[in-house]
Amino acid sequence: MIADIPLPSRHGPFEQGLWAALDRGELAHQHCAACDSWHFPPRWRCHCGGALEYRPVSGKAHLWSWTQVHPPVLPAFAPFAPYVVGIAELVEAPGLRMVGSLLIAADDPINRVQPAQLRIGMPLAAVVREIAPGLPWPAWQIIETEQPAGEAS
Amino acid sequence: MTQGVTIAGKVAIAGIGQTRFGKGLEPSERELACMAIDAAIRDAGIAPGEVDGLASYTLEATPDFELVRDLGLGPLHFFSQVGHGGGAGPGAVGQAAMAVATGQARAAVVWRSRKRSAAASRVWAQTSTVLEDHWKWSRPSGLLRPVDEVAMLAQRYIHEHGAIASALARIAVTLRDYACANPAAQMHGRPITAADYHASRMVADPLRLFDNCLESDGAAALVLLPADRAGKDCVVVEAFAQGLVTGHQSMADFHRPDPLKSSSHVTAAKLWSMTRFTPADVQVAQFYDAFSPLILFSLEAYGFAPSGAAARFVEEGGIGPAGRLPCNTSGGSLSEAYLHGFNLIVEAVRQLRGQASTQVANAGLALVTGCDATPNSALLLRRQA
Ligand SMILES: [Zn+2]
Repeated sequence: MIADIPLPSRHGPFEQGLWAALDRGELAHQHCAACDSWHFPPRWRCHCGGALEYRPVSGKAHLWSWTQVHPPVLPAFAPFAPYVVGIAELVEAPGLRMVGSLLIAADDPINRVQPAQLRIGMPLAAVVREIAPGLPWPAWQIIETEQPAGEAS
Repeated sequence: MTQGVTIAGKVAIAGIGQTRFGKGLEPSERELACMAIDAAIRDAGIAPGEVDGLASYTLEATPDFELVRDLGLGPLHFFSQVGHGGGAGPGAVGQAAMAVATGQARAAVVWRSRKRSAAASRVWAQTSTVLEDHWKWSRPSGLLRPVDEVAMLAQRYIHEHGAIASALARIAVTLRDYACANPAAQMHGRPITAADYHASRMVADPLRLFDNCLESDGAAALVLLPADRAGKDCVVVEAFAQGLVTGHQSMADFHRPDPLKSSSHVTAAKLWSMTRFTPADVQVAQFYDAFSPLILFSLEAYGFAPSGAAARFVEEGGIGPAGRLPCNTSGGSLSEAYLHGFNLIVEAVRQLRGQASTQVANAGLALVTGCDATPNSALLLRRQA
């Protein structure tokens, strides 16, 4: 947890299922049974017109992109800069992506991962942890840091 | 091919005005607005009381009624604002042009004033403790600033299309060279080299200091009149479009199947459907450039380079004074001033009048775009002889 960071309101529309799952330490997203599509950020209904229902997701993802944030940043984040932020694309659907910190160990600070350890497409797993008391949010643990055999470093 | 009734050729940009650009200017934001609008009205050769339309960005802090009182405008019959930050500029002009083309207004002023160069007043630094808007999904993870958000897209672009560092250096140097030819530019007299670019500090990997727009104070304004009032040789609005692609959310736009196919792609498709002209006819462009990769993205979206080929277009000199498409010829947001893109529109008019500091020979058709990373807009302007 980092003190005094901007925090997401838990009271936005169509979000109850997301927060309920995170409170259980799980990750869930809106799913449309009519066209078998997944959606995030939360919305009223599917683009096909179908109703949406929160369903658990696997938490498996791949790194879609990343940046390393250098100063100047908000004072709350300044002691950690530079730090890496990633975008995880969940295996359930292309486009089902979440922004989050990247970790080696589940309890790492936000600035342990270094750019040289990153490869777009590398597998990630969701780790739900508190970013403020009573406010769980997923970060993304790198579950394989070795380069695949045969790929130049 | 054009679709039905359009505003093509019906509205002229008959006046332009701007203040000095710089950091820490003395006048207030409202006074800067008055100075720029007054200059544009005088340039158009009309009386302030003839102005009956005002359009601007929702970013503005000054209410339109204050300007009406300050300058003796009105009575007004059209007043509008366009949202989405840097995506708004061409849209504000286009909406005012629609009002003038339809008679809702007889003379409209479009303006932008900014006095925000102090670091403490940066918009991203004013983020609240509890986020209710779409930034709740990214800022708590430390993705805080617009440059961080564009860096994510640039990193992905590199993964899909290859390295862009040389192209970004070329953009920074080219725009700085244009600024060095433009006495009004904030970076006039301060040339940089590609080596300076590569040595500049990293801000959000892969973006460096010289990939970022300036912090500026200043104001600029335009006057729109019916083309038949503007005289023989004038600059007219040939086409205008706005675009918001389904699923786009401003800046932190990561949640669609292909975020690299931005709202610019739908804006461009609409723009080109509203005119007989094509990208091949455009002689000069002013692409929204708060961050240099937005120029690469926009070159592709508006049809000047195939997908993935914008870096090569730039590296081959395509945006320079002798290139296929001279771009951001006053120095743009990187080196002239950052007014959320409004100075780019003024520069397009100067090019078509033959009054630019780096003049493109016989410029007859100019493109101006809004921010690629937000819901946005574009204008095609034409010299009417
Ligand atoms: Zn559906």
